[in-house]
Amino acid sequence: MEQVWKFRRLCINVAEEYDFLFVPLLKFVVAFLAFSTINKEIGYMTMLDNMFILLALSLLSAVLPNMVMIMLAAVLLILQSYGVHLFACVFVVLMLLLLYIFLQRFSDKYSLLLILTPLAMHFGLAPVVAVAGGLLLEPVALLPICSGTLIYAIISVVAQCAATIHGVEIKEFTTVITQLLDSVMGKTDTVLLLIIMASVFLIVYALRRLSVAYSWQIALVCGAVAFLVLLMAGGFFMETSMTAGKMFPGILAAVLLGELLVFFCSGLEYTKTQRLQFEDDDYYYYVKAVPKIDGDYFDEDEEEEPEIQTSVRPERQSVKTQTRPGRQPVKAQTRPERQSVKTQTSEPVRPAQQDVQIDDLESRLEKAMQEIQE
Amino acid sequence: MNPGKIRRMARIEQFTSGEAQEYLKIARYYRSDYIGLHLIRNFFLVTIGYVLLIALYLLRNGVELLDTIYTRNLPGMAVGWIAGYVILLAVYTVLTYTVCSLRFAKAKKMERYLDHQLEKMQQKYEPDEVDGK
Repeated sequence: MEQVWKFRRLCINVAEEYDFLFVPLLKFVVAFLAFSTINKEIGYMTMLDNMFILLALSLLSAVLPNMVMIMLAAVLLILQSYGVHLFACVFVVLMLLLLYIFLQRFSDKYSLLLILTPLAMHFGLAPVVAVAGGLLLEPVALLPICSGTLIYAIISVVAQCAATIHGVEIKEFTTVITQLLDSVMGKTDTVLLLIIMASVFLIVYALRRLSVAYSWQIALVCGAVAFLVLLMAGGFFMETSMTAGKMFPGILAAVLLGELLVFFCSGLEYTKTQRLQFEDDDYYYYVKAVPKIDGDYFDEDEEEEPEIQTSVRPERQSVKTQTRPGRQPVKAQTRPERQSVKTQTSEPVRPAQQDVQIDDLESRLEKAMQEIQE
Repeated sequence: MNPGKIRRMARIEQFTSGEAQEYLKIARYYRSDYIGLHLIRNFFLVTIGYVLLIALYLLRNGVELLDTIYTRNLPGMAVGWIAGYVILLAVYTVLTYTVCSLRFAKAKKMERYLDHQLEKMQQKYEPDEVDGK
């Protein structure tokens, strides 16, 4: 098992060290897949279905901010719809504007989900987005996930209707718009998928944040089961082409990827959980400290009790804080670490991810300083 | 080299170059200005959105509407559309107000944290300055 944790640590170190390579590479792959999928799904403007153009656009997306990738994908979608029919293009532009005005403008964060969600749905991996999102992201990520699901519906509607509306004269625009709008309204699959994905996301998110042992694993399993159950229940009440059998590979992929995320992002050793109790002038603290797993932890002498640093922070492990009688109860949270015991109560809260990065940086700096001093 | 100073400077740099950057921009506004600006923006966006919805409806049902225009209750339809607009605007105004209030509160919290870090940094410099003198 030690080897596994060391391997985990090694992977994280490599990912951190070479993120300047991995991030653009991943962005390139995502952009290439997204652009080629749009071309493949609609593909009426053959001029754009060119490998050189695709590679150039993907390269641009890889090195520029995420918003550029989203804008390029939107432009590609609009141009491809224009290849189908002028009013298909008008329809796509109107729908994208409506999505921005009524949904997406409330969420600047996680904009990459606007690309990743339709892409995952195209490959039958919708459960992966819901489960992984619930494990890693905040509830605000639901907005881009819902927008992404609707964008996928728009693309598939244009692709479905392309054969019938291509070549229809401009003056018969009502036929085109009627057909596209009726197809969007009649997409019960999309409505059901929206409901299921939102529910699964919230279930996974809520369970993951519980202050119980193995909360990530519990959230993952419950999310996968909830997806399956809701899908079957939806089948009873709505006419849908989605079946449990069709979605099963996606659910399986969600569980496997979720396990990977739990392994790399959670990494807590619940068997070494410690319950601490201390007090200051204003509060009694009842702290549950769960040590994080990494390679170094197992290098230490087992008999030596690892010191635990508990700092009051907003996420991860919860701390039940009780006040003296007559005082206002306060809920604080902690993230356990090794090295020393420290409680921060006066500092305002910071995002937990940033804490992790800062702490890593601090430990590296400390090592470097020691080396310099030696 | 002072490890404490380096650590704190790294912490401040890490903090201000990340997500906090956006929030620190928000914290420069007065609360009423920030929320007011977004409410005005919301008004225009919802109006545009509603016009687009009506446009889609007219594109879909325009011909049918023209054919039956004399038999339809046009004032009733107009009242319905206006009521729909008012309800939509009210819902999105509440939503925008809530989101902006939360964002502003978070921005202020981040600003306080940064001030706190800078104060500590200042305290670390002061003894050196005294020694230097």
